[in-house]
Amino acid sequence: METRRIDHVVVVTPDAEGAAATFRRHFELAPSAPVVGSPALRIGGARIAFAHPADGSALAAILARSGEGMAEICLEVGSLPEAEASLRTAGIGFTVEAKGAARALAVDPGAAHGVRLTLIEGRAA
Amino acid sequence: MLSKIHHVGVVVRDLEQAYGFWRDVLGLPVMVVKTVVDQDVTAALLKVGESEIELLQPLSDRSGIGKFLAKRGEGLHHLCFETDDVDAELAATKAKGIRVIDEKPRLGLAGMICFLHPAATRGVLVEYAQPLAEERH
Repeated sequence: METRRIDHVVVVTPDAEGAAATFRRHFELAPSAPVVGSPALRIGGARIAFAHPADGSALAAILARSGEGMAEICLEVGSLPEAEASLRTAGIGFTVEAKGAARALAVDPGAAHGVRLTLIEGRAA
Repeated sequence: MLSKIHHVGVVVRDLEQAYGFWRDVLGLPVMVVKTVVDQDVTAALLKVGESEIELLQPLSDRSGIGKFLAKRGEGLHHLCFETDDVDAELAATKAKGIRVIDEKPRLGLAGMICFLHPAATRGVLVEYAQPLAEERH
């Protein structure tokens, strides 16, 4: 698998706009295009997204269990079909999810050492 | 000035086992492996574009990482921003009244580092790192 870069990390919070404002003020980061409707800030070639997750979602469960904090990392791969094949070959579970208009592979956190990890091909703003 | 995500820290139970996913499946090359004795942790930095994934294996359950693993299990631990002047960045942070863990930068795996208090940053444990000149990747 060719994994190219960190596209974004997701901070779960009950107050997405407030959390984005906190990070903008503390770290002087510039706003970027939203990530799947969530406010986001740019740092280098990556983004930090602040998500108030929908009830019943995996991120909502993380917020309820652990409180505000970093909950997901999204990596860009060269080819999603190749990534899918690599995961299948390695016997790693995943689900196919929509990330905005694009497809994403959500890797089984058990295989990713407790990390909620999504893989995308190119930008999925 | 903060320039990029230097790394994302991930706590794992066993570094060698973790390589099976992060290195062998995702294809991320291991750049550095070091044991930080005073923190009771062995850490590996795996390159991903301009950033890295830092895998942290505690060497005892008394260390901060060991306590994290015992309480929360494996998973995301911290977010590290790179700066070219960690002293100035930390001073500016403190001048804004932002609560910090480290009053002064110290030597860590990623260079000269310091941590901010997650209570000030929406539950995210934030680290600043100024890589040493000979260790820039």
